[in-house]
Amino acid sequence: MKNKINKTFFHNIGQPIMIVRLIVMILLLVITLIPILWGFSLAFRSNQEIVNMKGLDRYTFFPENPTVNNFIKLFSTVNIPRVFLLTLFVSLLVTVLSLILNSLAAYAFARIRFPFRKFLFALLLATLAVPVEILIIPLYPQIYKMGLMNSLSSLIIPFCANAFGIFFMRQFFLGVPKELEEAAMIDGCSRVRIFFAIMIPLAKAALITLGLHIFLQQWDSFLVPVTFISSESKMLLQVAINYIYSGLYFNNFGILYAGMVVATIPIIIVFLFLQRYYVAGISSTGIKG
Amino acid sequence: MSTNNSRKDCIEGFSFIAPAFLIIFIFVVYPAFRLFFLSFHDANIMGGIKFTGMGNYKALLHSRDFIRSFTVTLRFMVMVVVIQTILAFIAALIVQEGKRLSNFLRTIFFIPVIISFVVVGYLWQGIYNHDYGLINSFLSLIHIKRQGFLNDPSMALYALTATCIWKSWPYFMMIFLAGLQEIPKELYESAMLDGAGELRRLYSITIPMLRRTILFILLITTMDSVVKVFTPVFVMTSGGPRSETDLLVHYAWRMAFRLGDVGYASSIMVFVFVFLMIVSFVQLKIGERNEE
Repeated sequence: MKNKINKTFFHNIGQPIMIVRLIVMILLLVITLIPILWGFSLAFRSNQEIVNMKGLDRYTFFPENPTVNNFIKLFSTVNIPRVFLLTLFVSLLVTVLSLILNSLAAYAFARIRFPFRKFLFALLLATLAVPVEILIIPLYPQIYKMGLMNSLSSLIIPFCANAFGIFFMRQFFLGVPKELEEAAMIDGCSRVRIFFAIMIPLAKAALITLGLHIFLQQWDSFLVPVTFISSESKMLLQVAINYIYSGLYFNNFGILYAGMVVATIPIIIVFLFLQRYYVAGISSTGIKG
Repeated sequence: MSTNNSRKDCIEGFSFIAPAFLIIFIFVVYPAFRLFFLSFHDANIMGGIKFTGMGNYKALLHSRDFIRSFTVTLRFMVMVVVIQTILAFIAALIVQEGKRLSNFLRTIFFIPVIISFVVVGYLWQGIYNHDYGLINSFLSLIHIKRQGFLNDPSMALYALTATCIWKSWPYFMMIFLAGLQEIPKELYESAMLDGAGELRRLYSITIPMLRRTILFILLITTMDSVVKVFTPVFVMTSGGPRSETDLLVHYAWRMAFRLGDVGYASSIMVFVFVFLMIVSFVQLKIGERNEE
């Protein structure tokens, strides 16, 4: 059915519209790729070459004298492996913890009838209106008083549960047929058992989708680490890029771009592999939101 | 039996939500009230406070910096919401068909979304650079004078807007695509039998059927364009030149963490929150009216 419609759609359109479509497609493709390609090429140029890029020529997108010097300098100015491991550690820990806490709460909201659950769920949704950007000011003295300032815990504990995650998982659990649990209940399974043995395995795809979103969010996080972490030894990836830019190496554009390439390549690879799940998340929030 | 069950449900329900709610109470609900509380005080970042009543809000209304920051935020918000939504919609219509090509395009379009805002910010700072920037290379080709896009008060906000849209539009294209897939194909078939042309089908079927998707996108985009802009401003312009890109969230952060005026900064954030609530409410009301 869909194919048939698509075909007629294509064939019914007069030539001019097809041409407009093609032009817009190419335009969007160019606008998306050109900046990335250009930035990528900068990572492989010497500073001299960068400063001398004045006009458009055949070297605009490909370095004239490709060099990996920027990467060598990058690794000697910032402890890249350490920054990577720390960022990975924080991101993974937040992801795992928030998947567990969010699904537990989501399951309760989807299945268990307890008092005030409607009110509590509404309260939960209301917290979506106050993102961390708005709360960063009162959070600072609070984190300080809790003794978490300048510690990795300040990047992990506040973010290991969130309303969006609970809402997302609840939508999934609501869609699971009740019969599965009822059978298990009759067999005398406890809720906890049902949750871990039946619901979690069923929710694998939803968990990957949500996990990927949380992980990417943490990997990109900048406002929170730049506000709460002051020592260089606990620098996370995005802050490190800012550090390369604003610190000692101000005129070393090449290093900055090398850092950007190093920070971006892994995340693009992860995305290419798990794309399907990421997109599924967007689709479901789009429809059900 | 039933009272037993409901007691068990009660205990289980609360213990399942307890860990998540504990975190959310401590790190979202409490700070939200604390923010409101601080906005009525003269405060410094380490916690010393003195009650000043409406003092901060009065200062807000008389501050030219605040008025400018709010104006800049409004301009930025309108530009992002309008341009990004239209761009995302058109792109969704275009990549909708042709499975293999459109899957390829979607993947490519999506790359800016997954690149972090810090990287995107520095990348575009380079592209806008006065001396070696890519755009100036283009301009020199057609003999237009070199521009310092991010240093020119009349252009910086537009440059920032373009970067933010470049990063986020594909995300909203995906939401549009999900919405488009929900429209029953029979509608188009019968419209075509009635001789409705491409544009007619767009106005009479596609757009009305996407009402809820459009409303959702407008709500999210409005919120993002006001709140999720700290990083690009911080990285690209630090609010300059001449505060022309000093959006409210960045302005408040600067007031609190650079100038130490926490009470005043809190009142800005409360203002941002109230402003967003009003805008969302209006959007929802208009959305409801269109539903009828």
